[in-house]
Amino acid sequence: MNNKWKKLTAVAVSAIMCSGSLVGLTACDDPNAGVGKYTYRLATNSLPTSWNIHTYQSNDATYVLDYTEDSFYTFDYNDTKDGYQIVCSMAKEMPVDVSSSYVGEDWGIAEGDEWKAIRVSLKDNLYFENGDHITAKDFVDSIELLLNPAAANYRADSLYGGQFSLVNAEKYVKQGGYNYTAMVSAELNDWEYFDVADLVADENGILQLDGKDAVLNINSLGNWSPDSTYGLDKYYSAGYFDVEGWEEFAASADKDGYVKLNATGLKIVQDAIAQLQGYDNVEAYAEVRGDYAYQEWEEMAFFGYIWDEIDFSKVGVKAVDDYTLDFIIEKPLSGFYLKYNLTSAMYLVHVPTYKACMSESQGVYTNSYGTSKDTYVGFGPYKMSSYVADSVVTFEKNDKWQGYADAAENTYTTTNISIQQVTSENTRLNMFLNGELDSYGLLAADMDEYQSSPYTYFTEGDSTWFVALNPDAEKLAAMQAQTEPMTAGNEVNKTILTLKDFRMALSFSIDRAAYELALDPTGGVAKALYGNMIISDAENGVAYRTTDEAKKVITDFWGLTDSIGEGKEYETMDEAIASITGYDLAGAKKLFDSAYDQAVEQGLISAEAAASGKFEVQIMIGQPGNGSSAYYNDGYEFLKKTWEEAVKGTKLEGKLVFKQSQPLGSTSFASYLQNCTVDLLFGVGWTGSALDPYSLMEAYVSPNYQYDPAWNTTQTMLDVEINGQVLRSNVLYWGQYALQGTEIPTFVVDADGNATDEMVKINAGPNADPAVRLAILAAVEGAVLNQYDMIPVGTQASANLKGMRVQYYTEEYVFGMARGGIKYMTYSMDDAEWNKFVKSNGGTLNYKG
Amino acid sequence: MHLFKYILKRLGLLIVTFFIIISVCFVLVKLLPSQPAEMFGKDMALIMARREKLGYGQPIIIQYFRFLRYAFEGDFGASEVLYIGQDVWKVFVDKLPYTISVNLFSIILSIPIGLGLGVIAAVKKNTWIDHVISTGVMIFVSVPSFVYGFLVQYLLCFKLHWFSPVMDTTAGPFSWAGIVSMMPAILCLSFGSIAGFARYTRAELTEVLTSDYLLLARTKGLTRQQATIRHAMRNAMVPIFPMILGEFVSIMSGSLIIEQMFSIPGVGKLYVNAIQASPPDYNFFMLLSGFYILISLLAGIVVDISYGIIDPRIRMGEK
Repeated sequence: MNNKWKKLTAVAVSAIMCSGSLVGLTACDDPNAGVGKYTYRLATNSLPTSWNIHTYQSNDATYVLDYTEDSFYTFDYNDTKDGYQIVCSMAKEMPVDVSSSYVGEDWGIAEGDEWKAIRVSLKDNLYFENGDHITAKDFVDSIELLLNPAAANYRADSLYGGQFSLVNAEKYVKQGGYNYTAMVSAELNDWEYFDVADLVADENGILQLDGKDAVLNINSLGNWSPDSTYGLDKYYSAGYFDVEGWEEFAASADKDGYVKLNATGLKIVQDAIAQLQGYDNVEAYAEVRGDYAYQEWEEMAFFGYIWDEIDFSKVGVKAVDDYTLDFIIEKPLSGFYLKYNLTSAMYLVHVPTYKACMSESQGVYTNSYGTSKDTYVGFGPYKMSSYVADSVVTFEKNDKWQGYADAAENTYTTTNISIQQVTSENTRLNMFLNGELDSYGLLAADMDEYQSSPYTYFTEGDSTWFVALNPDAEKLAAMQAQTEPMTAGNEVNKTILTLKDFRMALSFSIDRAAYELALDPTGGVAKALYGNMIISDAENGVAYRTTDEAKKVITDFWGLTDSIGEGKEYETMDEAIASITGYDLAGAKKLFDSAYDQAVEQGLISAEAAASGKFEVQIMIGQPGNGSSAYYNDGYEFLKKTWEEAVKGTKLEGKLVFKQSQPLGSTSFASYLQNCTVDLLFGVGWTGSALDPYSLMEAYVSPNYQYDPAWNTTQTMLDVEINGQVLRSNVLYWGQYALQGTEIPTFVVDADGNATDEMVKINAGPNADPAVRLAILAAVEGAVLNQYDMIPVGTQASANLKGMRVQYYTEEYVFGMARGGIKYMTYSMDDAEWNKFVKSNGGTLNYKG
Repeated sequence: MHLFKYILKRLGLLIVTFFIIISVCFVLVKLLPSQPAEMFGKDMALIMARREKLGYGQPIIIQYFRFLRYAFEGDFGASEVLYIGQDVWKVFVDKLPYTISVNLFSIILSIPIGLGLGVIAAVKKNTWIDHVISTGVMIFVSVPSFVYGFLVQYLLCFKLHWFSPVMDTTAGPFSWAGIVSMMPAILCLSFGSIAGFARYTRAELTEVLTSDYLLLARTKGLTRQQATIRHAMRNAMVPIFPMILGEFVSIMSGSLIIEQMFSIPGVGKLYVNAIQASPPDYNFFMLLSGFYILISLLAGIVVDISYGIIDPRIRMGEK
């Protein structure tokens, strides 16, 4: 045989033999592997690529941080194991008020102020996993690194802007940068205007007030108009005013639309506003409105300034000694929310390792801390033993961790943790059934087989999913004008969405139970903005939905309040709420008819089109994500069918048509609704903030976040009964400013329902009377619901299969503790026994009910 | 000399082509929407400050020259989205061995089996052996690899328990444990290649076996085996060898679905992720674009040159 042929044959044979021997080898297992080891094995769709506590942007980071980091205080079960409490972890004792030690201008603390300077005493046995001692200075140095102005770290804002804002933290991180305030009118409290004569021109002619530049954004009308997405430039383009010099003025705007005002610019803006108000120029306008004509521009203006340089010693964190740490904060904070804000290690990093990871890439600061085993030093109950990006991360017990010193018996039984990245759900399920995983998150497709399994645990989440609409008449009309009909010759209508009856009809025609069953079988029917897992009284663990105020919001919204009471349809509010399905097809049909009549009457549908029947209400349904989500594809079909069926027998029968948008991406899909590129989004909402529904309310009422910025919350007045008085203010003030601790003006409402001149200032921040906060929260929730542009449909929930050898501490889910977590989890078999058990069951376990 | 000139000319064209494509890529990716979405409770000024430092607010042409300047210095930048803070080149190089490993073993397995089956089918043309091989080849060529993926994973991993369903990466891509755990993926990738090699080999060899010079060789007294191996195989390899070479070159682009299915942390999904990220991970996108464009262009040259090496009758650059 030819030599080459021989070689070729040899290679082929050896390759085949090689694969055969590999097969054989894999069958060999070490019988002693896993004796005395309890490895908690998980698989996830994705693993973290960075868990640098200063910069991480994905929640995947918690797969590492939850095990490798500690906190000053931590959640634990209460004595009866049916609720939570906050206990010490790295801290030796509960935080102490030391405000009196920092009285003075530097820290903004006046004599008598309380809980503005907080002392945390550290345990003396705190160590990083490499054995380095942790002292108070490590925390201070870590915060300095977090706030490093050159880094602009993603999480730096955690130390300002929220409840626990360190004094001067924002100034330190932003020093040297240019900044804009909120609206000028908001800056000075909305009811005040400054005198234009107080403006002083700097050397470049820019007008300044107290050293801050007066700035206009040509793309924003600020508080001047409810149309928060339009600006003066668009009005100019549309021909609403024609002031000489506008184009040159607009051309000087930066990429975000800001223009610093000089005297000429100011006159242009004043004249533009005057013309919008129907006068030739500001002088003519002033003849009617006086000084206000010269000041009105302040409603749409900003202040701009350069942040001063500031030394880190001015930032509100101090190491008093090795084991004493003081935090000086902007707003007083005490009780539960203080401890809750300290259930972290305040961005502690291992400073030498962190600094070694600093570098410049393409001339820009970057840091690779927390991206591999070698670039990270933890200080939690477990330490990383291996990490391969996008593949696997494993942990073992960290014997340097302080918590083991006084850990109770049968806690931290888990000796090792392994988390694999497995993107295929099928593979994850099969691995679980083969005993290779200890938990598996069930999907909709698995529910038929496993929902009644004794190993299945359901957990209700804290999010609500909505159908979101943006009934902006002007934008809908503009979009309608450029939309092609789906049936040739039809008039396209979208503006019917501005009618509340139409939106209510859309809401009542959704069979929410069927929707959830089809799309998210673990979820429930949503009846309000907030679900059952939202806590309104965190100190006592009271769920918001269990309060009378919150219950009344639901019964009011669904029109059942008058049907509750002795001898009525429902004896209690709970009974009434339990009866709500959110589905009222007959009512929806009536509302569709009513909406049609109103649309014709108001000319939204032309008389001609109404007479000929040649019109279609075309609704573009947005598709968040990248187009591969079964939820959004199936949901579109579900809603389309639901609404097409619902209009049968009404004046809109056959007139309601739907289109699905192109994929809108995962992060900025809301903007497509906000500018009416799509007419409706579903399966959207705000997550998190289970313990702080008060702050989350901002998402629903602030134009910065609203899905429906067309709803001007500054112009919608809301009455709230507080301490026996009915007080009136706008929804934005109640829902954002008051609940977040800013004092707002309210007016007393008399018995006839009219606002009087009597002003009452209200501050309902974290330290305010809980009853006042609750009353405001419930009132604002009701106001948001009644807009019918955030229609609650489903509540978030999840289900998981628990491995046969795993034992949870509590069967019931307890907020903050789940079912015991890694701390309390125990096992009926070690790894070796488990492997034998799985083999004895033929290698595949049966978890079906 | 002609060959040398030819190579120089091709390299010159390569450089021009490379810069045109890379410039287009840069402009196109920068034209994609990249404004960060407003996030609840997030200080967007901080995010904008970081973007400002990265030069995202500057005109595209300035950003392009900045990119070129640093790229020439070997600084491809750090990832801002997918692997925050990490040097994109390092991440890529760390992941490449996994991709190379799985594809390399797949090719090593595919070549002898594929060529062998092709030879057998050609030699036994129109017999039941040829029919069986050809039918099998058609099936394996037309069925996508992820279908084998499901089957292999289900049968070998979940039913027979021969292999782990996911790769064991803890010991590295070329470790024994790593290779063993990669076997299901290697098999899945091999099926298509084996079928491809077999089909091509059969077609080429069949044609050569019926040529006049083979008849002459037989009439001069060579046995069928001698004629096939010494003459037919050599000529049949002329078009087959560049195909094999092409397979080797393509191994660095990874196999998105198979890598994902068997949790192999290779480069397969990097490119897609870089462009799908919101905002796109520019540095990753540009590095990978540059790398793959270069590899593709170089592969073209290498394959062309290889013809001349395999068959001295083919001369490059000669008129």
